[in-house]
Amino acid sequence: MSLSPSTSKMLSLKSSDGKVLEVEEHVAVLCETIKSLVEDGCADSPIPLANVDGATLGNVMEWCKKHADQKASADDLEDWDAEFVERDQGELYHLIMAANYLNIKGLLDLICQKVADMIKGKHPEKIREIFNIENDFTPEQQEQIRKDNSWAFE
Amino acid sequence: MLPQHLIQTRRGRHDNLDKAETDRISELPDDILSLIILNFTPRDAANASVLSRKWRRLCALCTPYLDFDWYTMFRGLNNSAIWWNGQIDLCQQYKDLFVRGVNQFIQFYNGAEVLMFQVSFCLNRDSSSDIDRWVSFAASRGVKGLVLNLSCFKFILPENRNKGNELYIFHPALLSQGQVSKLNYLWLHSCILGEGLTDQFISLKVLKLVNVSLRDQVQRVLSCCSVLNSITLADCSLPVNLCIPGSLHCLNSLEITSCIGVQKIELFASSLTSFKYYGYLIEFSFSQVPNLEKVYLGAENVDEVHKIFSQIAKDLPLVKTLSFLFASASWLQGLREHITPFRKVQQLELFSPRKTNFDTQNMISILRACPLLQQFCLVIRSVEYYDQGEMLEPTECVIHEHLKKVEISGFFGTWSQIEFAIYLLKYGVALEQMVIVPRFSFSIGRNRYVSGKRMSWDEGEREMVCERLQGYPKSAVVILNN
Repeated sequence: MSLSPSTSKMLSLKSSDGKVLEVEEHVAVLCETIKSLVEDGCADSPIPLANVDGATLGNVMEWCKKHADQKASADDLEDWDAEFVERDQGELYHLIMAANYLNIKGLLDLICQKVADMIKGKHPEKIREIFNIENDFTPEQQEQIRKDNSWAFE
Repeated sequence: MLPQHLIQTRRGRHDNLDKAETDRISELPDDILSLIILNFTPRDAANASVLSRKWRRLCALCTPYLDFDWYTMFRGLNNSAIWWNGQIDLCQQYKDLFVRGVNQFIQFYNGAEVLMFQVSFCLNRDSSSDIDRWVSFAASRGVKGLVLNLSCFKFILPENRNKGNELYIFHPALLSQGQVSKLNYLWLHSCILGEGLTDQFISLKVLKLVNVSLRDQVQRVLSCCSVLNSITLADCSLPVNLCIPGSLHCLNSLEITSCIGVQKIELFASSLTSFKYYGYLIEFSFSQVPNLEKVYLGAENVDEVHKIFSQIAKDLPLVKTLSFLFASASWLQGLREHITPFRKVQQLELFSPRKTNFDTQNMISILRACPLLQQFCLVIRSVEYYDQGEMLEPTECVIHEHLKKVEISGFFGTWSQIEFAIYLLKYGVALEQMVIVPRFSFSIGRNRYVSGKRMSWDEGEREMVCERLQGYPKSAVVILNN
């Protein structure tokens, strides 16, 4: 089966909230999950995606479309990606879950790197504040954990 | 799987970018949170381990690639300006904290496997017991790649090189840990290779040794590495006669740069395809490596280039890619009388870092000695006067029918250089691209050769070159500005 742009047909994707998105096949197959359906001839229209809401699906397909573009240079993609991940935590959360569900390694790695960058180099209290992470240690445990890795807090 | 209630409560684009109302990140499944943590340095992981129980558990598994250096341990301190200019000895100042950090981290680390273990820090024999512990730890977790770069970051200055009697002694026995060593990548920098090597290097594919004294042991080490693919030896002291034995039947790449003590290298590893040597020109025995296709030879002392040319042409009939660096001003002289043809060479690179008389006839004779040449790269530092050179003597017409790409760096339009460019345009009938660059710059090993003065064309030069090359029917000439 040819997946080249010239022969690409359209696929319908149906989100968890019932929205239907028409996407070119060569773009949609960047999702390994959809690719296997297409290759097995199970790509019934529309393909139901029970775990991805419409807005997130739109964002995911926007990324896929850019990355399916043969003409985009590596530098171009890098800049585009950097802008693409400038989102609030809610959207990042949904993108990460969708990238995982749809099995898009490139997008999953990108968002994971972005979230890691939001944490790296920050003081634990600051991280807790940004992500609203609850401290479930007792003060004694907390003290011990700091002691175990005292080098990192000096 | 995304929980249903989250889909319904999904927030829009207008939420505060900085603060979360709910702890979404900790709701991520472990496997995804682990993917985020995979990007952490040891310092990030230690930091995040105090957030909550879940974070502590996952941070202790952070990544099987453990990398300890200035950046990963002291993020924010990697200011090279301080390193170079500061009066304070940072290595000494941070050594204790670094050593304690690695010790604490490997205690904290809970992963079942360590694939890569890397330490890059200025450490010496004083830290032996700690480094031994790290190596044992890595080996006990089935380490596949081990890097101990114990040089000072100011290694390139000779006075900062660790002295022999202070170097850490790496004992191969530490790798055993009661099981067969899985190590396939080993890079030691500024260490001493200790005694006691038995079967620890049995799986080793890549061996890289820098500033390691190997005078007495190198043959023993090589006889213990039957599956080696690649050997790199740099700044090492070697025995007078270095023999790369035929028992290394998987070896395809050998690189020896700036090593001392060696006067003869004998190559018996018959699957060798790539050989790189940089240093004083010594004696090579190439007759047992007929599959060698790629040769890089950089010589600091060379008087009779034609001898090494004819040896390579004779012993290595299959060689396809040749790179030469001659750090002698006169290497081109008298070449044309003696040159032996390289029958199979398709790619040729010539680097000439000393000011050299650009001699068109000799240059042409090199090209003619490579009848199958497809790519030619010349980086030359010519004498900077506008020689009026002689016109090319009419010789018998030799057409370069395979030559497709030419790049000349250090070009600034002397008479001879332009003659040479015109020659290539006339006789390179298949030429697809010729790139001309005024800047002279390339690097080899730690040495980078740059001509400080000539970064771009002087006024009018570019136009002059363009004009001179006009009228030769090639659309492929690219004249770069720098």
